[in-house]
Amino acid sequence: MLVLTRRPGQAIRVGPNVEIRVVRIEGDRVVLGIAAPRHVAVVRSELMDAVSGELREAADTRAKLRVMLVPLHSAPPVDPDFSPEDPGVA
Amino acid sequence: MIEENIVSPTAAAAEIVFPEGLVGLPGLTRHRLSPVPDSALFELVSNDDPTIGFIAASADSIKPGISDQLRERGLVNEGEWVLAILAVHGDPPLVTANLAGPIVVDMESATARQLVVEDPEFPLQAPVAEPV
Repeated sequence: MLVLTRRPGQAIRVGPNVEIRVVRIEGDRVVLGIAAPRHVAVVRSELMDAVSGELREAADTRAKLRVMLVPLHSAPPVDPDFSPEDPGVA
Repeated sequence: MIEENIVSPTAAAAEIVFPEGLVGLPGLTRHRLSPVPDSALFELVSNDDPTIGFIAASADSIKPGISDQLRERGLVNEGEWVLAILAVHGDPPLVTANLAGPIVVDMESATARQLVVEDPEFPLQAPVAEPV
């Protein structure tokens, strides 16, 4: 990992189009300003981790979700042995 | 409530490629997107690992206008569809939609990508009102 030391107001560039500037330091927090093209996603690392975790949760609960949601929209299952003349069926 | 009158991105199953994979799952690039019959829902299943799949809904059915918001930010192009992955949390179970990590699908090129949106208006677990 490249480690750089910067003071408030100073910046670094990542590639030709991304600039990260130290705006100010507040106690143990560093306020950064980031200028990047719109198509470049700039997000906190913890949000990436949260989205990843939520995706895995969605995969793990897919079966439960199908049971909860799909019957509300689907036609009732057809009994292959059903017959209107079947005396067992009222 | 998930509206059923939202135009479906696909009326039949389609093979979709995520060139960059999904967030946290970069190796899963090939997926099958299919509508869940008689519903407003979709199923996205990995062809690379069929044990991994998701239930999704049109993001606009969860939060109307969300795809336009993303278009205005330059994150979604005209003609692309935005899906939200659903999950179940808690007991009693609550269905939530992931609006922080929406899926953007371009049916014309059969490609898709997952966005990560840094904005409290796009929550990770947006409650989906019952009945869905």
